[in-house]
Amino acid sequence: MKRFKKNTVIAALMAVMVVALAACTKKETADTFGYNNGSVLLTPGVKFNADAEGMPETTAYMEAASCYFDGLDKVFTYEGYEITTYPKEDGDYIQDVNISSETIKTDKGIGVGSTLDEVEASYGSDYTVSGKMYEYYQDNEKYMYFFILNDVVQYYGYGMDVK
Amino acid sequence: MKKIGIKRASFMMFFLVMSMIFAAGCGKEPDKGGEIVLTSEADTTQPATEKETTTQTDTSTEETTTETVTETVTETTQETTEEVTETVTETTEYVEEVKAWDLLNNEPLNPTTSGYEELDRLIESYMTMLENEGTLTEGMSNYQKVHSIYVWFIKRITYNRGMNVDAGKYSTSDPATTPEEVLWATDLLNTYQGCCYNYSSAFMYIMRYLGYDAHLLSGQVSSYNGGTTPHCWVYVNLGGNPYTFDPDVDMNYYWRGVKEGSIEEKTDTLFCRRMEDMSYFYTIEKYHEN
Repeated sequence: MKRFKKNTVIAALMAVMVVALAACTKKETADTFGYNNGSVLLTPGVKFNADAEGMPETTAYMEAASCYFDGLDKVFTYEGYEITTYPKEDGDYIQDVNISSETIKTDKGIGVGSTLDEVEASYGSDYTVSGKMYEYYQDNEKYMYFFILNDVVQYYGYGMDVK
Repeated sequence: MKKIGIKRASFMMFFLVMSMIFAAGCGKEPDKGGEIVLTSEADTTQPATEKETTTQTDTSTEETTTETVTETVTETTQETTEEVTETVTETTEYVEEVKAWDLLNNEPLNPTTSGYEELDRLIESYMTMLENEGTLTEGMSNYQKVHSIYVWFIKRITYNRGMNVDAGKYSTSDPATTPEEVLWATDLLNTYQGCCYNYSSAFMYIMRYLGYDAHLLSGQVSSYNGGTTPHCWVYVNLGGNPYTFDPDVDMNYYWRGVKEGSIEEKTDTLFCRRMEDMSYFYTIEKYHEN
C-alpha cells in the first residue's frame, strides 16, 4: 500500500512536469519574433527558401536588380502576406514580412482592422513613428510594425533596417 | 526489498532526466539562435535618438567643407605650370561644390504643390516635423535647407524594394487616378521606406515645394560591381542648367562607407552634379512628365 502511494506520487509529479514542459515550449513559440505561417517561421534577417517545405505557392513574384545591394531584390506574394528579400552572397534573406490578411492576427489578437488604441493596449506606446508606421524595435535593426491610416491598421508585419 | 529499491532508483533516475530536460528547455535564451523577444522600453527608444543626433551634426560639416574648398582653389593657382594642369581637374570638381551653395542660394524660388491632396498634406507635415526635430532651423540658407533634407533622406529612409511593387499600397490616394510618381512619393512619406523610385520622387516634390524646378529621370545607372541597374533619380534646373541629385545612390555610398569604417561622411557624391558631366554614370531612358 505504502509503495503504491509513493509510485502514485512520483507518477503525478512526472505528469505535472510533462505538462509544465509543454507549456514552456508553447510560450517560446508564442514569443518568437516573426510570422509563423503554420509550418515555417518567417523572421527578418533569416535566409529564405521559397521552395522549403511548408511554403505555399506564390500568387505573384517580382525580382529586380537592386539599386542598393549586389544582386536581386525579390518580392514573394502569398495569400494574405508578402515577403521581401535582399541578396547576400549565399542567398536571399528576409527583409520584410508584410501581412495584409484580416484573418491573420498576432499572438495578442492584433491585426488588420485593429485600432491604434488596441495596438497600444497590447504592445504599449514605446514605438518609433516613421510616417504612419508604428515600429516596435526588438533590437537595433529588427522591428514589428503596424501601418496605421485613419486610426486603423492597414498592414502589419516584421521588418528590419538593412544598411 | 532489493527489487523495490531498484524500482525506486529507476523512478528517481527518470525524474532526474525529465527535470534536466525541463530546465534546459525553459532556460534557453530566446534571443540566441535567431529568435528575438520584445525588449524593454529603454531599448526601443534608442534608434530614434541616434537618428536625430546624426542629422543635426551634418550641416556644420558641410560649412567646414565649403571653407576648405575655397582655400584649395587659391593654393593651386600658385603652383608650376605642369602641376596646374593636373590640378585643374580637381579644381573643377571642387568649384562645383562651391557652386552648389551659390546655385541653390541664388536660384529664384517658385514654390509649387503637386495638386494631389494626400501628398501635399504629407509634405507639409514632413516639413513641420523637420522643424520640430531641429533639422530645419530659422536662418538656414536655401542651400542648407536642401542639403539637410538630402542628408535626412540618406540617413533616415530605409531601403525597401517592396515599396515599389504596388505603387500606392501605403497611400489613401486612388492608384487609378494618381500618377505613379505621386504614389511613389506618398508611399515613402507614409512609411519612410522605399527604393530609388520612392526616394527620388519624394525628394523631387519636396524640392518643388521649396520652389525649385525639379524633375524625375529614369534609366540605367552603373552598378557597384559592374554592369548597369534600372534606376530613378532627379535633376533640378539651376541657373539655366540641369543638375543631378541622387539621394538613393548617395544613401548607398554613405552606408557602405559606414560599414567600411570610413571617417569621411559620404553624403554629397551625387548632390548637385552638373548633369552633362554624369553621362558616364547614368543612361537616361525616360523624362517623367509628372
